[in-house]
Amino acid sequence: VNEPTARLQDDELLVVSPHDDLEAYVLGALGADERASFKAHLEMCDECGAKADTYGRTIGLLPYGLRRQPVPDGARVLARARAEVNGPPTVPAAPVVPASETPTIEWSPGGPPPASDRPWAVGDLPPDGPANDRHEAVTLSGAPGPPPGQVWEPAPPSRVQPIPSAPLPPATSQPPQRPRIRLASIAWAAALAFVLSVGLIVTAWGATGPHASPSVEIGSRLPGGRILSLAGTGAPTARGRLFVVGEGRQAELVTDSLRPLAPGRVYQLWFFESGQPIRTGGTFLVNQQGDAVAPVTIPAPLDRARAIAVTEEAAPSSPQPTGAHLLDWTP
Amino acid sequence: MSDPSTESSAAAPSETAVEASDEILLLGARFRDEDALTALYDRYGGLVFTLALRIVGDHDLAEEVTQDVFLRCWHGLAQYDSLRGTLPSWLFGITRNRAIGLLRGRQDQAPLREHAPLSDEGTHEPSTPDGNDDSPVRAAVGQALAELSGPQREAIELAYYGGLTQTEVADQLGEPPGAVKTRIRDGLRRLRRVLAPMLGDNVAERDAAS
Repeated sequence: VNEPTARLQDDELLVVSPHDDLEAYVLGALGADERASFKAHLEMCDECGAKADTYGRTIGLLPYGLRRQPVPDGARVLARARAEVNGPPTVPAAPVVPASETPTIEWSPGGPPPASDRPWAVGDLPPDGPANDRHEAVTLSGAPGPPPGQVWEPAPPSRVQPIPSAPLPPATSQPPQRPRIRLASIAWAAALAFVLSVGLIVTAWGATGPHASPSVEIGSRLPGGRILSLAGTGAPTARGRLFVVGEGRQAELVTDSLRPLAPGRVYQLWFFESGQPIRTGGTFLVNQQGDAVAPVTIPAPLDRARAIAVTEEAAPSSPQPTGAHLLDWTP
Repeated sequence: MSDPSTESSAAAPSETAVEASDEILLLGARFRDEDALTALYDRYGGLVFTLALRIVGDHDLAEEVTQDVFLRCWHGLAQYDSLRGTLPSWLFGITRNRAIGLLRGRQDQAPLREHAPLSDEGTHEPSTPDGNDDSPVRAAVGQALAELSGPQREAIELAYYGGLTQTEVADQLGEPPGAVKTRIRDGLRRLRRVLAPMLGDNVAERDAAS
């Protein structure tokens, strides 16, 4: 598979190494026949497989070489999306097919993601229309879809290392192995877990009362996130929930049924640590129902907090808590 | 914090969204968090539009592609996997495919492609950061592109921005396919080596091992 071959192309005799097409393959610059031939090579060649991800990331940087153009007005560009803000959420659904029809996809580390036969190629454009990006797993109408009776499988783990700036802990993934691995059971387990997790979140959103913004809600349920319940110790009908994302980089406090405030008054969030001054996470107001969804600051790691509380204070804020604890959390 | 009744203005993302990670924003956009989508657009809309404009060569078409890319985030039709690369490179992939697909679907745009400038000679200097400080990346990529020979860069740009195969590039340039193939291969090898520090990959070590 690694032996050089001679190829006649446009009356030009080319003596080529089978590795030589790697760069053009990743760039998406091979014709259909060459692409199929190189793909077969790639599945067997560790050397090319090891380099392909790096080439893919290299090519992914090319647009940074362009002079940036003035950004179109976001309000206009996003108008279509905003118009749908009141519609029901579109949740990516897992494919459902009878077990007897469940396709078993064989893959290798150089194997294909669902919507493309070239895992690293950025220019995967079949003659009949646009193809999907190498990360995409679902197509838009007009783009090539799965053949009848077959469904997309979740993409296999990649050799690409997690990007250093990615704050989310890496999802559980299996290291690539050779020879080929049958993915069906893993893929379906992952799909089921995804649907269940999405279902829980959607159910939470559907519950009555205020809720955190979806991004914070989801982030708080990912590794590094926490959701703390604040009991209504000084306001028996009230409750609070503190959604914390990424070890405290983001947080939102959600309260309901607190007493509406008089003018000049605010609610204030406090963090108590042993041997440390009491620190505030910010102030907030509530609506007529006593509800609030407010971004807050987490001034110290939560595992050091011995208590978190909400009090009513004079506006704009108080340096120390003076009111009774209305909402409380303790470890 | 502010009065919750005044939050979530459609005009600008919340402070929380502005500071959120790419992954959180994308998740939020998929679940129709308007703030998340707006923050994503503020962060990457310029890059997406710039790439789209480079490919289609028409402002309105580029805006159409940009809208389509962010709508896909909104609809949750695209699956981003952070293990496979950064969010901007993922958005670039979608943008390029949508832009080239749009061109291929509009035969009347063929002359536009031919007349669109395919070289950004002298335009690779880093731009002023506009709240999305990607100037180090821009500087590195600009430097890497400057190290390519003119023919190497022309061949790579025709393939990447023009969506052409190397055979089509050879036809367009009137060059032998073998020469174009060599230019693309050697050019990308050089880019990969020069940009290795940006890729978190020890290219020299890997190449030596192979």
